[in-house]
Amino acid sequence: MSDDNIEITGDTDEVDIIDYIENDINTIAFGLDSKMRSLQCHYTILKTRYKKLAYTWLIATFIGYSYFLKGAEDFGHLDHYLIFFALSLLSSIGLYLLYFLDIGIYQQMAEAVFLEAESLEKKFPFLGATNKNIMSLLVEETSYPLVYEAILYGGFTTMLLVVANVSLFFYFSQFNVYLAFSSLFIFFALIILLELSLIFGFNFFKMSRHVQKKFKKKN
Amino acid sequence: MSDGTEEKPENLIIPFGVYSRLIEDIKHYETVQATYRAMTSSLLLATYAAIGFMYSIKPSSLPLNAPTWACFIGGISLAIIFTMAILDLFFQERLMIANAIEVLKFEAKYAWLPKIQHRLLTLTSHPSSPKKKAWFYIGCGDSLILVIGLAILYHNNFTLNVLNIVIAVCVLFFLWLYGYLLRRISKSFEDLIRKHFDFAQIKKMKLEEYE
Repeated sequence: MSDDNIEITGDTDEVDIIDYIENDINTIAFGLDSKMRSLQCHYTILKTRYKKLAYTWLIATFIGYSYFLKGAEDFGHLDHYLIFFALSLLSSIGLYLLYFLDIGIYQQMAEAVFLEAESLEKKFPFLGATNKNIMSLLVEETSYPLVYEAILYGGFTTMLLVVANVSLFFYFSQFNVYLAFSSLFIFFALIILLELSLIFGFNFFKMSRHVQKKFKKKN
Repeated sequence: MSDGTEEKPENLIIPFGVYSRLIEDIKHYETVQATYRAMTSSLLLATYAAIGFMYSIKPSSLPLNAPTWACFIGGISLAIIFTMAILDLFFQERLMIANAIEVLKFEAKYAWLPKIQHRLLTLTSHPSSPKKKAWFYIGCGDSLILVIGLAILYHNNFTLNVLNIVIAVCVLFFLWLYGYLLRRISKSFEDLIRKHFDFAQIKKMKLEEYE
């Protein structure tokens, strides 16, 4: 490296070495690949932030359960089972909204970057084949890899909705057993439907399906 | 270069540099938006906790009854969520899309650039569309309106009378109004870029064309 490539900043001993970019497509491809990777990391961090929030919701719900079960406070004329039902239902709505942001928005953004990064790797083999490896490891070895992204929210909401369902059953059983059992089965069917739609996506996995299709076509 | 007719190579560095800066700006605004949404989610959680707390306190120790507190806390929270939605979907979103428009232009102009924004536009609904993101705020606001409505109806023992029917109709109206206002404020990605970029051709393209 020549002395021209070294810039001395200020009057300290600190030396910044600047890598000059050359007007060459390979150097630019390297830069673009770095940019793609930074974008992928960015979306992963955003997605992780929503997952962390989902944990906060779940923990808060558990605290709510324990606070209520402790019986330290008097909830007056409110039925206990109804409180459990409301707590679980509202919490699962909050979790669903986070699922919508994580899987519905940022997953697709991340996958668009992933597909472009994979195309770039194909055009410039010297960049390595990380994205191709990801495809072969995740798409080849699992039938539907992005289910694992959604299963976290699916698991959380299922658990909460089952608690809500059982609470509703006990609440109704105080008045009418038939009503209680019918609510149990109806609500249970609704939970199954909701969870299936959560895990397999409300058209949210359009890009994911495209990734899978593309990979299968290649093989 | 001997005869002076040889073409100068295309300058790749400047477009690459500008493209990188645009990407960094988009990342920045997305991070800010994600922070707003995280704050909204925390606020919703805290509001539920506060309403629950109001119901757990002995009625005699409060100047007003629990449903009034639920309406009061829920109303304030609803107003804050609405403000956050405007900040996110109207203000920050436009700052972000201002950069996305330039990225789209660069992607169209320079064939060697990755086509991320073009790829996203080929989807039926752009994942980053403010209209789509609005559903998060609609979900938060509507669940609060529902809680307020149920609190009032529970206070009236869910009896079937004119007052409760009016309250239920009002709750349904507010649920619709809140969603309508937010959907009205937030436009689709395509609407926002229409003035600046001709995307009609992009929409016609299939994803396979990029393979």
